[in-house]
Amino acid sequence: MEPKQTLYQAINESFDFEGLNPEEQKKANQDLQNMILENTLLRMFDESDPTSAKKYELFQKQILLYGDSPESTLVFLQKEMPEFYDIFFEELEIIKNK
Amino acid sequence: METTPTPNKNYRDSLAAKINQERAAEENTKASEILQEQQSTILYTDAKEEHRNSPEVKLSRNEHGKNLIEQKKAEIAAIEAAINISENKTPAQTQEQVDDKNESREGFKKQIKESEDKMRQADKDKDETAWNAANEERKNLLGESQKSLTEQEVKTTGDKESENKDILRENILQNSSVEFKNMSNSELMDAYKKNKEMLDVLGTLAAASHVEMTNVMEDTLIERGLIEGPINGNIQEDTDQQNAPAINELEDLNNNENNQEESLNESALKALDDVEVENKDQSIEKMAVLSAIIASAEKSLDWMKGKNSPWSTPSMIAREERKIRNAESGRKNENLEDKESKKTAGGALAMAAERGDKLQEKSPRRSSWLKRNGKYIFVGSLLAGLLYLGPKSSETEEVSDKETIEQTITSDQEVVCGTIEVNDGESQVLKKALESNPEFAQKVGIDPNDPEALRQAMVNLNVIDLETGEEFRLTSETIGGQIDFQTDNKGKLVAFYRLNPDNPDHLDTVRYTLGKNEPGTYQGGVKGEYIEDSFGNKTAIDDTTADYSAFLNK
Repeated sequence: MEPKQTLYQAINESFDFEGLNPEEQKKANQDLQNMILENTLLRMFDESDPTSAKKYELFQKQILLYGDSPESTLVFLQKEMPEFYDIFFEELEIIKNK
Repeated sequence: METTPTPNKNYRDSLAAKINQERAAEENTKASEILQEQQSTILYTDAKEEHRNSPEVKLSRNEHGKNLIEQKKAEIAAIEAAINISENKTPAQTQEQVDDKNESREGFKKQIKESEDKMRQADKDKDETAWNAANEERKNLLGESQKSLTEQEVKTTGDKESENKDILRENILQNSSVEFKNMSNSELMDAYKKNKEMLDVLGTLAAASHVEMTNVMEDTLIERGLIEGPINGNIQEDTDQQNAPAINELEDLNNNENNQEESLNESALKALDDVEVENKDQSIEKMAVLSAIIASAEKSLDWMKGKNSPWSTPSMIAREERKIRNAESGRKNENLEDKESKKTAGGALAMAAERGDKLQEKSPRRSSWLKRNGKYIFVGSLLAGLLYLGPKSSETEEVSDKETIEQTITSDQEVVCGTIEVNDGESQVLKKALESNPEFAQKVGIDPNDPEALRQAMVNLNVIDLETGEEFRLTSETIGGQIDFQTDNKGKLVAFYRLNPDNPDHLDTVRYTLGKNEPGTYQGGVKGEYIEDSFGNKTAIDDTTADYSAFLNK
């Protein structure tokens, strides 16, 4: 079976963390995850795209009710917004190549 | 020479001891890792600089510089002798022959281009006869050029096969420190030029600095591509005598041998064009890569020191600055491209923030909501830690298992809206919504005419304090809006407020974090309070005025 790779690992392999101590590496990785996550969501819920309104509302409801459970949000994203993954990795590539 | 211990020296000695210890234990990988880890730190940079400028290293460089000059002189003499023997000519004469060959190539190239112009013109004029004539002329020129250039090549390399020449060359070169006997004439010329250039650089700089192998000399040689890296004064080299300073430029010449041999067998014109284009392309490509690295790193640095400073640590800034220095010095080894073309973490943070700013400009309201709810969306990055590289078939089963356990919102559930009228509390809105939608009431199992069922619904929606039985309300008066009722994937009734007339797609819900006899706190930091019901004791449904206006100020 192909080994699983988390976003943490994907980011770790995508950028140069040389010169940072382990704690700094971890923090930089987490900050990057959050920024890329936020950029991904902003792209998915672009205000100028009328078709994104329903999805945005659904996402709001999920976060308002079950946002404190990452597992719940994980299941929600996989079922309701599978394009999230593709957009996340597009955003990752944009940061890598910009 | 006695050296007074300094913090830098102590650091260097300690690091060297640690690395030597690992190497002694044959843990070379670990030793390299320790070194790499330290190389980007300020401590390492300072210690290295101090060491390079120390008197003992300078003395060592002086000796090394003198030896290098002598070595280069001897090598040049040996190459000159080898060239004279094989061609019975001086290097200048050999150069003349090369120039002749280039001139001949240029002549053919020009003539062929003229033929091609004629063909294009004939094509434009639709003149088949003229086109055929021009094509024939071009073919002839190609054949002649190939023949001519092959003859010239045979002339310049023919003596290479001579047994007498090999014996003579071997005799002369047998005591040389560099192996020349297997080199072709063109390789010998290259080696001659490179050695001559290095000697010129060393001589000029040595004259200016009293034969001191200073950092300037070292940097100049590196910059001109005559040596690959620092000659001395480096912690790594000091701690690894096997990797002592080395001048590898002549070894590099061997790498070109195959390419040169192949080019002789190709079409003469193609070889000519290829060499020109390849050299130009490589040079442009190298410059473009280095320029892009520098530009990107400089931009990142601006962000890291400015807007992105909350995310930037001194180590990140030091790494970025080192990247610029490396690119500027053109210190490009085989690993540099991979290593240096990877964006640093600091640079990536700067780029991600810049990208985020642009996206936020396009969706300001939604961006604002995401930021306010960031603590739920990015729960300590647990979410990102859990997400995998795209849903894979092997994970489908695992996801299905989670679906059965986790409560989530789904897109396939019916949503029922209830309008908030003056003096309504959530329970009154639910009552009206259920009365208007009996199917939904049946689905969620709540009879709108049963006060106890409504009270229990309010308890389940966290609108009632379980200890006191009081329904939480906000102060002041109700100003309208609506509440969405629906079920989640487990059939549980959930409610969302839609209260902001300026932002209809703004949703909120109630998140009480309640202590006994303390005000409830709504998510987003809006403070509310609960009051006793009008019946005085633990009654769910009351007529007390509800107020949601505080949501509007969020």
